[in-house]
Amino acid sequence: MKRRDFLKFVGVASSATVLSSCGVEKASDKIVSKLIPEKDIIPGEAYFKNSTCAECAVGCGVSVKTVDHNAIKLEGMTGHPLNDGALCLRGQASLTRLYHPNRLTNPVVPRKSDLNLERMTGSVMEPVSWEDAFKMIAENLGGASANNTSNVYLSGRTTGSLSAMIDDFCGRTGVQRLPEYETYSYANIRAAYQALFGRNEVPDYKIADADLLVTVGADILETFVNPVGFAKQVEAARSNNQLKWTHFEPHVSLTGFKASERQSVQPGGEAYLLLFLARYFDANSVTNRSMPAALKNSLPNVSDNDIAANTGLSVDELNQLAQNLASARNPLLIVGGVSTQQANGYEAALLAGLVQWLSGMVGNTIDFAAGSDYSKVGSLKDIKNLVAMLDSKRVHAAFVTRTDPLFRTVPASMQVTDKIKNAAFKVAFVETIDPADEKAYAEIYDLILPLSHAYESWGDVESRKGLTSVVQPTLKETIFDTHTEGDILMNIAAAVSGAAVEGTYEDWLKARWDASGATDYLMDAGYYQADVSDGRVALSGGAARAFSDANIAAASSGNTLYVVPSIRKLDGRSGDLQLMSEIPDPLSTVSYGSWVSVSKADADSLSFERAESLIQKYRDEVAVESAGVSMNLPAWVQPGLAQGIAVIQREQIDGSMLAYDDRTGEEYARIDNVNISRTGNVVPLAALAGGIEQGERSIIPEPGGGHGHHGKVHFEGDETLYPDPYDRYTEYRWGLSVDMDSCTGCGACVSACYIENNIPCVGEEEVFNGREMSWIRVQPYYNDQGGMDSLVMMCQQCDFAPCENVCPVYATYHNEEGLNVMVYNRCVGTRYCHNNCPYKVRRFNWFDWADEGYWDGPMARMQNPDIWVRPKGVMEKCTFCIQRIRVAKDHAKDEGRLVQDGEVLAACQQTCPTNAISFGNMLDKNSEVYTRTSQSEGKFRVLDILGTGPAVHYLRKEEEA
Amino acid sequence: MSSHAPNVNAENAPERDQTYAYNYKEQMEQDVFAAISKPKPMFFVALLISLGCVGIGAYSWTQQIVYGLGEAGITNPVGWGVYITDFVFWVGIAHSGTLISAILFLFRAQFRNRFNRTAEAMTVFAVLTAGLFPLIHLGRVWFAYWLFPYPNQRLLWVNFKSPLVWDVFAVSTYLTVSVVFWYIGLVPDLAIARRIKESKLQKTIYGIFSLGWTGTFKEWQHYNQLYKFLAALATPLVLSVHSVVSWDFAMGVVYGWHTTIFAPYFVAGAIFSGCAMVITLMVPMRKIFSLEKYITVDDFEKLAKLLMLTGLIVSYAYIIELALAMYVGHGNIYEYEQFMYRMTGDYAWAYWIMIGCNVISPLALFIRGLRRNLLFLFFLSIPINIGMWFERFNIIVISLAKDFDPYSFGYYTPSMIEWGITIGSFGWFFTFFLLFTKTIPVIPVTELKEEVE
Repeated sequence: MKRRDFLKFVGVASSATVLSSCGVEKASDKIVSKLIPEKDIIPGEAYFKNSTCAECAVGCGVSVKTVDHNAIKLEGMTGHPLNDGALCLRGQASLTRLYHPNRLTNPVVPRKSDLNLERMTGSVMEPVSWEDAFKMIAENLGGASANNTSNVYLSGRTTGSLSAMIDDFCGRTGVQRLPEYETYSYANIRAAYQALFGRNEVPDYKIADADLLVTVGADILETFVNPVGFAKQVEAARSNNQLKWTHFEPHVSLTGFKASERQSVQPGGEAYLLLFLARYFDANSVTNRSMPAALKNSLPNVSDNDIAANTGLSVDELNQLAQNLASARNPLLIVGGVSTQQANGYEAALLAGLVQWLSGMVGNTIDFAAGSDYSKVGSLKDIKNLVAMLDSKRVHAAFVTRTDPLFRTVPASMQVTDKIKNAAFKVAFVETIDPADEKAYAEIYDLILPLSHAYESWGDVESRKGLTSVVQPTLKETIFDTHTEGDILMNIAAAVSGAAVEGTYEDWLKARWDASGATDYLMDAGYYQADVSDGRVALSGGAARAFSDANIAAASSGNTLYVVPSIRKLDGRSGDLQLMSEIPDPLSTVSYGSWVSVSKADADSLSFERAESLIQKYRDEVAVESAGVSMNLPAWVQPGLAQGIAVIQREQIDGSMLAYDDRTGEEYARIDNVNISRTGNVVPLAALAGGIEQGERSIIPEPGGGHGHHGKVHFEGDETLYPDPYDRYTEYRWGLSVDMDSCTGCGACVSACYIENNIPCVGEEEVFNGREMSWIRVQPYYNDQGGMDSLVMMCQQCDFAPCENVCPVYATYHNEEGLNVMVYNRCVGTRYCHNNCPYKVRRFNWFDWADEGYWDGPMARMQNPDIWVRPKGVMEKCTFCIQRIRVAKDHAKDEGRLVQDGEVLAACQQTCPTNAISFGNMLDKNSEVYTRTSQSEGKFRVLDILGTGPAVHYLRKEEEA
Repeated sequence: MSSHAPNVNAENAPERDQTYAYNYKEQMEQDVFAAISKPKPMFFVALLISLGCVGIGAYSWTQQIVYGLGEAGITNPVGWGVYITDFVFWVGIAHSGTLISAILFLFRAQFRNRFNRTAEAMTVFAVLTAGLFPLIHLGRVWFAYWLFPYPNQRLLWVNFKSPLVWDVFAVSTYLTVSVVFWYIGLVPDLAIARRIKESKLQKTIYGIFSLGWTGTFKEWQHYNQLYKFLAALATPLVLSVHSVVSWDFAMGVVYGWHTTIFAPYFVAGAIFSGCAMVITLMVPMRKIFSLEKYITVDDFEKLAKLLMLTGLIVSYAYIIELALAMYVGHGNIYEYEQFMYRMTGDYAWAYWIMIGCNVISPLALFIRGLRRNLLFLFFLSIPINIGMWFERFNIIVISLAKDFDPYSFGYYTPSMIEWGITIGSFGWFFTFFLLFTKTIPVIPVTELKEEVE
């Protein structure tokens, strides 16, 4: 080559290189400059920011784990008064809402003209700018005064500064703020306390202080008021006060199974039960409180035998219960859930309040000072009022925010969906819109504004009186062109007045915090506890009046259908989080789809075809008919249900079946005279369990089966000719224990594991095909005694793992810390390890879930960078959050020491509300996992007979010798 | 064909003189090589059907590679399904080839001379087919080479404790030895083909493959020694390869797999299915190629007796398996319920197909008249093939569907992709087999000639 040619080539090549490197797209915010680092940001390092969970109105504190400005995991805020480190399954999954594929990305105006077209193509949503949107709202607000109508503001439960901001906005713009709408508004409970004590509130139930807990209908471990906090308190009371807990319910719930004792009560019998207790406490003068004569006389006059007949309990049993309550030092009675959501639910709530008063619970274990703030929450009565306003065309503009914008949770008989159209101008503030619902939105709304998610926003929550939790952004900027509700309201107010916007909501908020002196607490600790007013209450003089029209008439005949809130979706509001469908229901193990739970007796009398084998996931279909409405649903045969009782989840019911109490506006959870018949069809139902009874299989061995070695961990002192597996381990042997007595089966661990480990959701079809990817699962086993055990099953990290030997390429092997590690990129996918795993905890990537679209769009930002997203054809499984172990080991190595106990928390352990899971180094005799395991009398390892030597111990008290 | 052709069956061969022997050999040469002459249209139709099946299989496999193994029906907890069933099925088919040619050769059972060429060809093609399935069932087939111990910079090695690695060696060794054994036996016949074939091209090709065989005394001496040696080498392989395949299961922890009788049980099952497949192939071939004179009913009867014997061994294995599970009973609930489930559960149909085909139907062979009825033998061999496929299906699928933890029990339904690939495997096998019938003497001419010496 000539010298000139050479120079030419070099010149062209180097200029091509330079040019091509100029054209790169705008650097993503993943790239963080190391030269000029932002405050406290090291690339790849995890940071925790305090915020508050927004998935429901409880307001649990969370620590948002962020890496490179991406929120990748939520953990309960340690020390937060409500949840102290724990988070429920919905809370864990709520991070997916931030990155939800259905997030509304900018303000939109529905093209109403397109709605009538036969075939709509594309979206009916026309984007508009924020300025135009504000202008549009401001113009329309003016229309109200012109034609003598009013503008209304309807929201879901709102507390803290946002509530103040809404009041401020409504005051300035002349908008009428309606009582808030919540499906579970506890209207009867609040109305009863209002009648008895003049407090329209849900008080704080101090379970942690109780030594005897009696719950009637209240699903305190699932959805009632503050389930995570309650679970924590139950656990505390169990260990500190040897809590005895009896749960009464007419149907079955997870809470019932997890109580010390579960008692069935006949539908509608709860009020009778409570009447008996009220009379007992009054007659026996257990405390110095007694009923005024007027009140005593207004109580329904029912004989003890009638009470027994109506509750299904004997008089002796009732007396025993009353005596137990009377003799307990700190008894606590909680009545709620399905027991207060029925025709005599108001009476049940009234009588419950009375019992609580008479027994001295009020002021002791029931605290009105720190009650949940439901002051702004209305009931269906208020929705009825709204409908009346709409009917008479007295509403001009309507704002609907943070509630169900399509009013699908409202009983269909109220026809809100139709009536809202009478308002001239409707605005919704939403976070997500399901593409399938676009048309429904377009039919109602004239303008839809996208809200920023809590983790993109400034704000605060004061769900419990006096307790303010911070809400702060965790991302560098909002993902889409969204605003917080506060900012939107400030902008609208400015547009109305024509003035400039007075700063941002953040400024307004911080000024407010400064004024109350909360700023430092909120920014440092994440929450602020203000002094609360005196919680002392007295029996109101007018209490007797409340009983005058009380009618505790008993249950009607026929089948009864209970409509219960779902632990996964509540009233359906978490239904758009795919993970909440993917993770199965803890009782039925149904993941996707709707079903109705029926009793075994009913299944027999209807002669179900598929009642026996669960292996084939086809179930009998039943028609559930009530008041002329019929739903065809697959039937799940639920052990423990009494004959004639069926259960359906709240979000799955046809709204036309729902009814409510005219007096209080409480929605009924009980539907009487339901006809259930078999349609003759056999339909698919994605229930994950291949069996829910263990028979003789001893997965959970019989207590007293010689499994416990008190003071020793199971592997110690086993006489065997095989080499001691522990000889292999020098520094660590990671082990885990699950306390069967503490575990509530709630599934929070499952949800946490999904988010921590980048586990994809596979969708209904593949779940039905058995291809769910969960690394940890909660297996319900029903026993003949009417109980249910939840067995948390994850990789057992066996000492002699059957999976390790059979892998032809060493993709899975035993590391020197006892972990059965999985080298994902070495796996060729023979699935031999999966076949040979007796616990079936290995999960194969049948498809490339990234290709299937699970990580599309912003969802990819949720991926934990410390763990691979596994491609198709690769086996995966739990490795005790090895990425967290690695981080802890790195830190320990820097300091020249071993990892200490408590330094590594597995994701499942971290989020567990009852601390049922402990994890740590089994070689450290002082570690929590070792001490708890060695002290447990009835501990066992699953399928120990196989000699696999699991590192997971299940702990329990030895019940029988 | 001569209407008064003598019965040349070895046992009752009539007295013969040199002329007769010469004529007979000439006649046989002509008859056998007539079979590999120009194909008739029907051949092409058959070949086209076979290739079509291969196409279906190739399409299905492509789908699976592109979208992932989820295209197949296998799922949690049934990680192995139709593919491994097919694998064991084809390895089983491959068995009787070596049995007939090597073991029966060492035992001087002359009737094997009628079948050994076809049986060996069947062995080679069946191993070629079987060898595809470990690849097909891999999650990441593009990394299949990781299963072989090859030197690499990262010092990554295979896990010699894994039965799957044993499988790799067992199957590849078996394929190698079978091919060599088959080819060595072919050489003198290829030399005849070189002599008979007229076209230049054919002469050249057969010439190359006959390795310059001229039929001298010295060549025959070496040939015979080598052949005996290879027969002796191949014999233990018959036992080892299927034993190793059975250990894929027997070494597992799953009840229904984890049992010591698996090695002999699988070997007997393999011979059973292999003999059935030989009958399935040879009965029509004998008819189509007019080889009635050389492959007689007596020969088939001997094969049928072998079928009967191995069928009884297989039945015995079923009984032992079941009896042990029932004997321990509730003492080992997992094994007990597994076998109860096989008989009465969701897959009971598959179990009873297996029993009907493999236990009941071979009992008919106790009747001499049926044993000697080729049409009956042919129609008997097909259900035995099906039954042996279901035997593997039962072992693999049902054991996995209901193992230890009730929560994880699950049902498996094969998908269209799996059936497509299974059809493809038959197409693949028959394509090779059809090509074989038109290129290589389907019965060993030289060995039959030896008989009349």
